[in-house]
Amino acid sequence: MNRSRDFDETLRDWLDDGADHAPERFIWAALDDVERSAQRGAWRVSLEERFVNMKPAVLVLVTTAAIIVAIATYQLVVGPNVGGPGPTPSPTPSSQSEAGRFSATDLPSIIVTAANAPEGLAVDASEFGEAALLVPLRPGGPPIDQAAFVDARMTNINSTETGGYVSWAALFETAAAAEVAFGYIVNEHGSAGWEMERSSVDPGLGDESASFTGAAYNIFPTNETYLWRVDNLVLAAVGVGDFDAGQVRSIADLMDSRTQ
Amino acid sequence: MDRSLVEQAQRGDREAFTRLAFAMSDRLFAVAHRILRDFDAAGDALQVTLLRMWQDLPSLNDPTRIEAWSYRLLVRVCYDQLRKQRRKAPVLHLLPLDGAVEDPAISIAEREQLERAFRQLPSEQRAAIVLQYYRDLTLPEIAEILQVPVGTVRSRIHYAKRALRAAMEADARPTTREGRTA
Repeated sequence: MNRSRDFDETLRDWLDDGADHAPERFIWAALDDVERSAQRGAWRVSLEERFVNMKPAVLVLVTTAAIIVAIATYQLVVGPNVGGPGPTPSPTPSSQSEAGRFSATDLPSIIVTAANAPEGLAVDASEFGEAALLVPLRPGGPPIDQAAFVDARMTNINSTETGGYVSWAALFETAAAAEVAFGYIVNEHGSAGWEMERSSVDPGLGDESASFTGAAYNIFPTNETYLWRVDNLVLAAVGVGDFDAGQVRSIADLMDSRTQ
Repeated sequence: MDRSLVEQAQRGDREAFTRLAFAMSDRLFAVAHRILRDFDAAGDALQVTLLRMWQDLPSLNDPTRIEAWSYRLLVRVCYDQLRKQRRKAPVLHLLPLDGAVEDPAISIAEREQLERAFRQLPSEQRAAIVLQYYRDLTLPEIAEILQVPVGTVRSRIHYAKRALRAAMEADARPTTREGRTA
């Protein structure tokens, strides 16, 4: 307890140590911009706020959906034969065939959440986006390539002072990108990273999988981690500290079955 | 914050907004500086945030919430800045932090360790740590600013502290073999 309080104090002292006054040049520069800029209506701001946190891939999907709706509405209202011959079926764009099976909306139904947790599993905390992606990775390790990263979710399950479980999934734009990410994450759990021991037996999850035991994540000396990939999704089920190995495996199997 | 000043600025009064900007800039800059760990980047973040505040003020439903609302805009701008920083070659300025005053309560070694570890944190965790440990905001207040559930704020702070503490402990351990610690 004292150790924690000491660390909190150190953190506070360190954060107190920094600039407290905004140089006026920055404020005046902003006010120059303000002078040349009009205010926006509330509705427009609200609409933009919906887009501001979207990842590029999601934005492309939303924009595509909007265009499809616009075309459908046009055809419904104006009719398909106005102005020339009716539309002909177009071939599937190649980018669509390359896109992965899963989308960001699938993540909450694949990982264990408060809404879908089986009896006996209670979700204590959740993490999203980049913050979730980075949780299983070593601080200070080589950075993961996020160019094709779309979204990630993580939940902590049955957490106590002595252990618990984690359900985690990261989504990439394509299966190829997920394959690269899977290789990186597996590597980071092995001798190049956390130095966990990799099981010689393939756990047989998804398209490719691996399992590890040992110290990792800077929490407990004993952990068990299942990592696997299904198409454009990389998944993990983890037991930390005082965990039941059978429970970790059943969380992994549950998540894997939800990808089928 | 003076509610009527906010309302005047919401109606397009630039003079009122100028007074508002000067009243709020120190706090916004200080938070940006701590999240971004760079004086000029914090200045840029402040500049962009003030412009967005002006442009988006009509969307602020409750003028008494301007502080939380302005932090929300600032944090988003900081996320953008950090994303851009990551695309560039990483440049570490461990010491001195621009504008910093040496604090005798923490050793130089501890400051270096914290600085290095903090820069490794995801932007979302940086923001949560600064809002709690520098601004002393409560978890619900931080959740409102970051627009995430309270449990998520709690876990972000937990993971950030875990990483910071682990980095400090790792630095404190003697090196036993090439590039690794015991």
